[in-house]
Amino acid sequence: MSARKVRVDLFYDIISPYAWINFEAWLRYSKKWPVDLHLRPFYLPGIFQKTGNIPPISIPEKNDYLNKDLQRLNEYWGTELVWHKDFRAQTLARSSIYAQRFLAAVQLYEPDKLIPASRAFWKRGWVEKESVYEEGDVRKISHDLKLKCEKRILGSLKSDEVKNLIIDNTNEALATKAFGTPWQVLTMEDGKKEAFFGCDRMHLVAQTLKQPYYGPLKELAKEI
Amino acid sequence: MSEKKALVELFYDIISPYSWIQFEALNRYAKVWPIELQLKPFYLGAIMKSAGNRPPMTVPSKGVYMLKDLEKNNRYWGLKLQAPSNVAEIVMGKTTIQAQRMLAAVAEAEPEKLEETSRELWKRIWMRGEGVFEAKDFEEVAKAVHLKNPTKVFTLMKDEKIKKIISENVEKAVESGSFGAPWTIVTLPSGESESFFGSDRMHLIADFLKFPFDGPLKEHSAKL
Repeated sequence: MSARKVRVDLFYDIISPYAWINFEAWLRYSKKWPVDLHLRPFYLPGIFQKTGNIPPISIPEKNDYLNKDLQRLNEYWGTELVWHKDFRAQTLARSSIYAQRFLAAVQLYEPDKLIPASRAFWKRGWVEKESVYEEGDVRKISHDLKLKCEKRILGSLKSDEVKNLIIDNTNEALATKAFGTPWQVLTMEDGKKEAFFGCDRMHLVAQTLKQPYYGPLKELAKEI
Repeated sequence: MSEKKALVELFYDIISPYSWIQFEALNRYAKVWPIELQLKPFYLGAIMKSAGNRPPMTVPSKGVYMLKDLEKNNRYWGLKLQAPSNVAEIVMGKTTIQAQRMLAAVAEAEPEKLEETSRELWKRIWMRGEGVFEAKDFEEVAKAVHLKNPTKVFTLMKDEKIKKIISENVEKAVESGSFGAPWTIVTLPSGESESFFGSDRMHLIADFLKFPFDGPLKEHSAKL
């Protein structure tokens, strides 16, 4: 008898390094836990605007801490994020809207590519330290992904359908009181929703699911 | 031959529930890891001011999240934190400087009572919904932990020496990049040092120390 799977919605924005770490963690854990993982690209500035929250890097000490925290998280999770000193200036002034709309379009028209597409943006921003904010950046990343529906996806970035998907995902996160990313929502058997913020709550997620916490599961990194 | 132990310094303020969790976690791990744990009461208000940071509860969704997060942490760590009914009013309107001075005074006059006094203050505000701001509150604390010389501690609380200790602890935390509490500084026997924010980095502290992280270690819980 197979355990009934718990639906997990992972709300993320590629501007967030912690969202990437949590994304990788969930891809690994979805192979060990009885969960049905749904990736939900949303728009972080929309969350900030509605909640009155601000990006952590607005606070210089948090920005400095992020650098060291990412190094330690890299060692623990086997990830490869590289903090760079221009990140703060870049992200406080720029927007990930095109990237997020691109991911929404991929979700609509070529959903089996959502994982590599998301990862491609994070790699570009958080390993290669390149811009992910301009339409040109999106086109370049799209080209490297070799999408079957590339033309349709790129043509839809300003469509109502794509805009509404981002808005709907953002509103759904807000309805569960999200104030940042990564934002994970578990829908339990009785329909109750349990929300978790950040990439450092997997042991508490394990507790809620009544499953073991296996640590970083680095051995599963290659499979996903 | 005794090996030099790693030093773990915990900077905390009793206004912070997560500081209590980290305090309990470190006290348990000090029983199984070869570390020297030093408790460093500081003043969160000064840290916030220095970093330009604000209490998480200034964002209402974070306040909502925190209450549920504490419940999950209670289950995980075997604790019983409960927000006082007027938590927002307290967190945003009152100052814990006197409570923190009492801790610094106990650290000076009766250091063997620092752990218990810290715990008793937390139990008052974050378990029983009792006051930690008035003279009578501190008298009750002194009685509960059986201070040998409460009068000496109360007098010391007003002394410049104690104010200086709090300032020095704040300064040390700020120098190592603190923007909040709990703030844990781990110094290896080699002299290498790392700082950790929050109560959800024990697995990374374990990694840094190269010791195993074995979860909540409930068998080493202090009596609440």
